[in-house]
Amino acid sequence: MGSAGLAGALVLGGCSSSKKSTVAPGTGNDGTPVARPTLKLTSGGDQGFPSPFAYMRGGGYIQTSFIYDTLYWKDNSGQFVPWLATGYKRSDDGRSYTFTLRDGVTWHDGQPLTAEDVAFTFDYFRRQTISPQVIIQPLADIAEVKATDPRTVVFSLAKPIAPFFGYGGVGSVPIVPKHIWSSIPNAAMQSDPAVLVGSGPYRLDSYTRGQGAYLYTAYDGYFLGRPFVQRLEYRPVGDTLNALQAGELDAGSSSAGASGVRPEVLASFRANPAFGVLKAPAGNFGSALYWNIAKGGALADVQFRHACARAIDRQDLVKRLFGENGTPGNPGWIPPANPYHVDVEQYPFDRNAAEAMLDAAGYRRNGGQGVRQGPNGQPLRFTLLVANPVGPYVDVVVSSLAAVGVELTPQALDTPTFNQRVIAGSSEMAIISSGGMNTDHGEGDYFYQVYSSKMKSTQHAQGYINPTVDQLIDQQQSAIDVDERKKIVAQIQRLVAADLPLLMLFYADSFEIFRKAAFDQWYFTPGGVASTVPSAENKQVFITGRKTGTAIRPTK
Amino acid sequence: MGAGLVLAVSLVALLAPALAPFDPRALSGDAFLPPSFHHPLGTNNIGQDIASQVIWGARSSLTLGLAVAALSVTLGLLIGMGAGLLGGLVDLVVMRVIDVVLAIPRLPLLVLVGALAGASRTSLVLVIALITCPVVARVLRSQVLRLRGEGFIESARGFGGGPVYVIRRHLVPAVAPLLVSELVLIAGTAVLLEAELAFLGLSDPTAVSWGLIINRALNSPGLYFTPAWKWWLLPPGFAIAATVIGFAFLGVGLEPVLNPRWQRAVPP
Amino acid sequence: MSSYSSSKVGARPSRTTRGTASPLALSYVVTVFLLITLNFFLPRARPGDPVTSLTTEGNVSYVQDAVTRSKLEAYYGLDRPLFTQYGRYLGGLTHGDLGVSIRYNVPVAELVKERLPWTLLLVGAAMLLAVIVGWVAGIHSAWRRGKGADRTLVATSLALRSFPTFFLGSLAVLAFSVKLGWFPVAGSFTPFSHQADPLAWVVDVGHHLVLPAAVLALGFASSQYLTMRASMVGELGADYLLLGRAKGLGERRLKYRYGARNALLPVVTLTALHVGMAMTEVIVVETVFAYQGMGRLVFEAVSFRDYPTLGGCFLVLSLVVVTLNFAADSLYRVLDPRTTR
Repeated sequence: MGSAGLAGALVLGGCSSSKKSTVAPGTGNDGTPVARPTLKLTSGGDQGFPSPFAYMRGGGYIQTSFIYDTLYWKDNSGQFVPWLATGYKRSDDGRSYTFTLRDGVTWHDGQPLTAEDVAFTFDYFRRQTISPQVIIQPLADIAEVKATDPRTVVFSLAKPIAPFFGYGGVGSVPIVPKHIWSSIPNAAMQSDPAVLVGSGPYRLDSYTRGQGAYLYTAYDGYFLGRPFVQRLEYRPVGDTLNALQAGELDAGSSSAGASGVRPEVLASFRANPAFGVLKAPAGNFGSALYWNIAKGGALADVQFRHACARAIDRQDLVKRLFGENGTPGNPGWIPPANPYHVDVEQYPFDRNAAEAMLDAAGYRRNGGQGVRQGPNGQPLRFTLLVANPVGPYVDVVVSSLAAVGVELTPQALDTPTFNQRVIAGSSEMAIISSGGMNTDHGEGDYFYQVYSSKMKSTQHAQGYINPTVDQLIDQQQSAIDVDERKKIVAQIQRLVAADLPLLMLFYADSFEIFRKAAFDQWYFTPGGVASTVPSAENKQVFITGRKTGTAIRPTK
Repeated sequence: MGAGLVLAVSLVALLAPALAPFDPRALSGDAFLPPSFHHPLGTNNIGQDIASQVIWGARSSLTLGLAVAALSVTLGLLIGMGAGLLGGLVDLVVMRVIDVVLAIPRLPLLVLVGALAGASRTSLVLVIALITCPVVARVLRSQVLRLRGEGFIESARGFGGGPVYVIRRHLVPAVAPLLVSELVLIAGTAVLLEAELAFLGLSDPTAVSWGLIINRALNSPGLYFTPAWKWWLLPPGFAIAATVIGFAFLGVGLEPVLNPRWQRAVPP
Repeated sequence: MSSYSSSKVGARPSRTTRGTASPLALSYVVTVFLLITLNFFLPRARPGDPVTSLTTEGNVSYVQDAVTRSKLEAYYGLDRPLFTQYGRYLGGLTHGDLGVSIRYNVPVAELVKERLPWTLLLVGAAMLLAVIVGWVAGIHSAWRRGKGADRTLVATSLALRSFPTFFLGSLAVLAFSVKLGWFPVAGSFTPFSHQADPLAWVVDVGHHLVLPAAVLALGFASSQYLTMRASMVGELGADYLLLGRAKGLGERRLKYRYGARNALLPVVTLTALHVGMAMTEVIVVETVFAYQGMGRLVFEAVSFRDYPTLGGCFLVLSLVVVTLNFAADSLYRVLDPRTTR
């Protein structure tokens, strides 16, 4: 099986774009059986060991989702489809959910998956110390999860939770086997592939640390049937677009590293009939300028931050970087495309106004030249932590602030180190990229990660403490009524835009580029995979070969 | 030819403020503009004028090359002369150390030091000078020994010339031609090393240098999917090559002129 | 091309021609010892040194992961006096202990073991290519020196040596991988293909090897060519060739059997030196081609500020280079009758 798949891959790899293989897996009439394809994809770098306790960020969650299932899962309709569960009942006060599990689901090692495993998972997560880079962890307000019989599990909530199915809830938390993990005291440090026993459609065949090479093969005993895509190869490639062009990938995202892409670059893919280009919902990738308030001094001065914001021309920045493929950053974090977005103070670009604000706040400049000095004589000199490869916007930010007398020295680190240092709060200023601002998660819960003083995460606004904001973030989560929730979220946006512990610089559009001959059923899950990850790699389409539902396309 | 190239690059470097149409860091136009009258080499991914960056890059590359060469030759001069003149145990120890330093591969050492000490230009100059000076020292020492053997120094001493007099009057003129050609060769080496370090990400990401222009071009997503690489990637690459080849030819060309006895394996 | 080939040290094994065997060996031992010591002191030399900062909370390079941090503390032994640290370091080296990678949380020696074979393969292939191309071109060029082809070749090879390797490499990727699609864009093998049959695996590895090896070989081929040509030109006027011609021996036989054979001495030793230089030039080439060898490991360690890995790689690469130079010197002594007494 392995060698057949490889032979196919080699042939495809050698083809130029004009040639087509005779079999077009994943295309054609839905009713006729087709060959099960192997897909060559890329993770865009190391996403960590794909255990639910050790992966890194959104890309890593996608890897984990191949091995582990959740109770519910989203398809192209944007609705949660019953997955490990077959249905649920909600109590009238919204504080208790009873799920019925599917019958006959087994773990990869043949053991049956029971309600005990579900209860264990939620309990185990809570007992572990897990890196903030593991983006999905059960919500704190899930008070208790109890198995009442082998196929029934009851969730008791401390208060009603609006996104109970999405981020940190039953549609995103991967269920792990009790018989494997109960004997592992420190889940985050566990990196033995033998522990990766899941109930999901794929099994990890190999993982090369550091390179982001993952190989998955279909689990033929999967409860929905034999998965349509029989093999998923996540390859390390230098440049995704080059690799797509050269036939080394079947699909890839233009936005590896949230870098964005100019329309001219996509033109050759759009013009080539062998490729499909799919645009992700706007506003899902962006980079923000962070001031580490915890470091005190000017960084903790809201006047200083406002002035910096007005010194940067975000409209111009987006036009330069992405042409039409981007949106200027919104000080309220939520992108305009998100239904929860409201208008907030924009800090429009005005260099003179910025200078006047700095003067007024006591940051004096000798003769209108050089670096300004604060009231205590401290010069406005800061290190700016950035991730490698250094985005071109770094230059723009540095020169924009230099023009008003604020000197930034960029320090470039690779992403994992960068994340570590940011979480540790050791930066003065930083430019941090985020993804998923236009998912369900971006509607309100994302504020926890970014603005709540109770959270630690890569995207967290260091040193920012606003009790009102903390309280509102808690409130929106239990606001089951959409209008009420929108109202609270609007308040949060206005407050954080006024406090401005960070400024979103831009949102970059993202595109999935794919070879139609290899597979053409790609879609972006409305609201994000598991309500959180704005990726086109939803396992649902790999399992079924179709965009909706759980029925698998007939295969040869 | 070598002299012509070096002269041309030097002129560009000297006249950079007058030649460059824009501030190399300024956002002087839209992104990815093709070459035009205003932007002779177009603009990069954020709209900086590439021609201005290449012109200012000449200045930063040459300054670095010459600073390294000057420092390296001075160090080499002192060490080589010291060892040659003092002789004995000092000579033995110094030459052994030089053998060892010569044996250390340069790039790994530079990478290690660059990563440890940060990518400051000063540390770069210092380290490249330190690892290139042994070549100079070795050549100088052998010249001193030769002069000594021919009896110049002893006879000058005999006529009452002090050590300073001997160095100034006899040694310096004798070794000056060698020093000049070493200086030129080291400058070329330094330019190339700086570019390699910039490519590896071991330099200040906001500086203006040829290596960095290439580094940024290569990090730009989809570089090869637009024609931009032709005016973004090629000019700094050719500029580096022209400078390096200019220094090499100049160095090689100077040797026979300055010292007819000098023989080389590589034909000029 | 390479920074070495354009400087004089690389062009001739100068220090090698004097002295007897024992100072040579002594010099080698001293060099190795110095390298080992340098690798110990460099990271600790600076005030607020990087090694200490790895385990100092609040510092920019503080290692968050407690397990890695404790391994680092154990390896560096930072709480002990410098001399004790040095002793432990030397002791560790004798067991092949190069420290623990901050990034991967595994022994550096293990990483080196994984990556070194790829680098050796790449360097080996490049050297073979450089030698074949350089020698054949050099012999031909010398035979028809002064002619148009000879002049063009000399000019081309001089120019080629002046371009930065990463620049030529990037252009090669553009032309042969992205535009023409003849070779893979990156990597040292098609991922996951090790499960296929061995023959396909070998073909695949070879396919990935061509471009990086060719780019790495370019500069060395130029040097080999120029040296071979010069050496051959020197031999051409020799009496035995005139005699041979007078005896009516064929040109081909004269060219390769007699002329080339005697011109080989300088190029053989040059080759040994070149292997050493190539071992360091791979840092750049492997980075361009994302080739999974030691060079790429160095590059990754740089951007991660993974000092233990960086130090380990420095030590291993340097030792290989120094050893190869030592071999070159010894070889020269064996081959050149004038240096043996």
